[in-house]
Amino acid sequence: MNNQSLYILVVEDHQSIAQNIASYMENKGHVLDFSVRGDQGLELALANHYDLVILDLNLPVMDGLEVCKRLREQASHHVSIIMLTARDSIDDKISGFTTGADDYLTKPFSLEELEVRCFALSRRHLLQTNDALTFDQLIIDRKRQQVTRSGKALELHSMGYRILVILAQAYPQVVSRSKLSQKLWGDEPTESDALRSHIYQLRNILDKPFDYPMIKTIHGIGFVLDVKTNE
Amino acid sequence: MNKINQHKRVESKPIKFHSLSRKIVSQFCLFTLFISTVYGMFCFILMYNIEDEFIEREVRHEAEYLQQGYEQSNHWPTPRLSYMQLYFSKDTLPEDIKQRYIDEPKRKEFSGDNGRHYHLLALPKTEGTYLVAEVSEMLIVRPISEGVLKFMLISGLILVLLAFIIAWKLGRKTAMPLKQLADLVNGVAPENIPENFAEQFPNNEIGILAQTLESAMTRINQSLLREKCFTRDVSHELRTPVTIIKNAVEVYRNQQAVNENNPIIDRISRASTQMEQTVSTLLTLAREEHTEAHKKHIKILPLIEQSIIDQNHLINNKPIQVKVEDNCDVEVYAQSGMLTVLLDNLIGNAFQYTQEGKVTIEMQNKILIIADTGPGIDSNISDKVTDPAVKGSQSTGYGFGLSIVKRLCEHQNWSLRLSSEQGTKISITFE
Repeated sequence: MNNQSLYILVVEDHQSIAQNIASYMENKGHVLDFSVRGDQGLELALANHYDLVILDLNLPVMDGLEVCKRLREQASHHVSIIMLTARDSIDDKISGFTTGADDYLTKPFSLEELEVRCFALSRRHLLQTNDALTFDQLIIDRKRQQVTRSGKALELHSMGYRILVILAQAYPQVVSRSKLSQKLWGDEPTESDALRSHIYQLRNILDKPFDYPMIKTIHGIGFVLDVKTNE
Repeated sequence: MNKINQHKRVESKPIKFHSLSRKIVSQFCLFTLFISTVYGMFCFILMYNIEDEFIEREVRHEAEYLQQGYEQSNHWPTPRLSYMQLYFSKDTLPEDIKQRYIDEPKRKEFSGDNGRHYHLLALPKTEGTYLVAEVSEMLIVRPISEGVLKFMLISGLILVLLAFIIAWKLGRKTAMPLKQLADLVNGVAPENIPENFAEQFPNNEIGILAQTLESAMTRINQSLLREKCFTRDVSHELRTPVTIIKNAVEVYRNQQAVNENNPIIDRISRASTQMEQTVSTLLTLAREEHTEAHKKHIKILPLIEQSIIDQNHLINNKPIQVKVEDNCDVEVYAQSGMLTVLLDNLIGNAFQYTQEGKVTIEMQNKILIIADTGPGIDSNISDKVTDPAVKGSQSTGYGFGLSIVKRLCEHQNWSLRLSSEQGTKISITFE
């Protein structure tokens, strides 16, 4: 999807997890540093300009929350932090975010999702310079609210554009009808056909003129962006 | 074809309890009343007996004097006391006692008309001669009997009142701590009972009871906590290896050509997904099972949709149509985690065991119905399918899933109904 290469620090004491991340991410062209101890991780993060730090919570010597806190206090620039943890209660998440984490992934996570989130975070960080989401032929420029597929500009209605952005942000997750309409209209109930007709209109513009449909329906209750990878 | 209906629902009818102290008071008062009455009766009997004895003695004395006078002068002197009179035949006896004396010749005492009262003595040495004393003027008890009765009634009442006070105090002393203890432990979740509550109770049998209860509660709490910690720790421990397996599969697939399917890797992937779900189920149970907290009105449709999306991999390209009826757009009062576990298990089962056809999810009033066109549940195990660790012959996870569902339903007071007739239909009734 993106051809950006990220410089990432992984602080994780489980070697197998670190190795999996390494194999996957390096295969995708990212550059990674590793640390198995909290204090070492902090040292590395302070010494180098990483795009992002993937931080496990349970670490020897200094735990993840402490590393996160000190990194926020001592680092001269903002480095994005994704926390990895086996703890997933709301309290754990809150304590993660309050110490300065930017994102939170609970084990077991998928590597694909980890990569997508890494991109999202690095984009969040580079908000002013890169607002384009790229999925194979599809490019969504969020700054100018323009969508192109295979180089052709698409004339989307505002609702169609919003739906596409929601699907793009959730990728590769499936978004259910309820979640989609909740994001579009909030908790106010709308007619069930409204969403259907918006999706229909979106498909007419996004999918019909091209070689394969990018919006896939799951059992009539969920939608997902279907991206053909050209590997 | 077989049809099985399992309907498990705990209909708890409240047992009526009566108060111990009220019972003590009422028994005490009744007993005092009974004793007072008995003693009052004894008193009256005694008084009448003594009075009779006095009069009788007088009459005997007079009879002796008259007999002596008769023996000396051969004619009967007049009795010295005006209320006594001699009769020389039964027939001449006063009218109001004559007949009765003839009927009962051994009787000595008669009450006559107009308040008259007679004592009769047949003179032993002279047949047919009777000394009759009309003693109504002499009676001591009769005029005061009303007063005595009143006095006894009043003192009886006072005694009952006294008994009431004593019993009430006693009841308070014994029953109050018991009541406190009962209030303390009745209907309260074990983890909400204050620690060391036994100290405030007196050092008697109640104290022993309180102490026993306290230690039992502590043990229950500890084992609940242990179970919770165990489930949580195990799930956490399992998460790391599951992550490793899952990620390794991803790395492997990523390194291979796009369209190359490796069935072994697919199997590993499916197993790790299942394990992931089991772990999250266990964690949810550990977190929410023993608390009433977090219950609120939640829309069930988004959860159903999410669950279908999450379980979609189980359909695995089988020709199955999934139908969510429009009537699912309602609210249910529950914990969302529990609801998710329930839906994941039921929908996951339906997806996994249906080879082709349709899976339908609908809400009728407060009843969630999940029906599939799968093989149904074996007839010989269907009636105990919700027991732990019972599995169908072709099942890999049915037993576990359904027993979790069953346990969950029991916890949440939802009723679970299962009918297996050309496919499986499971209905859950939310309270």
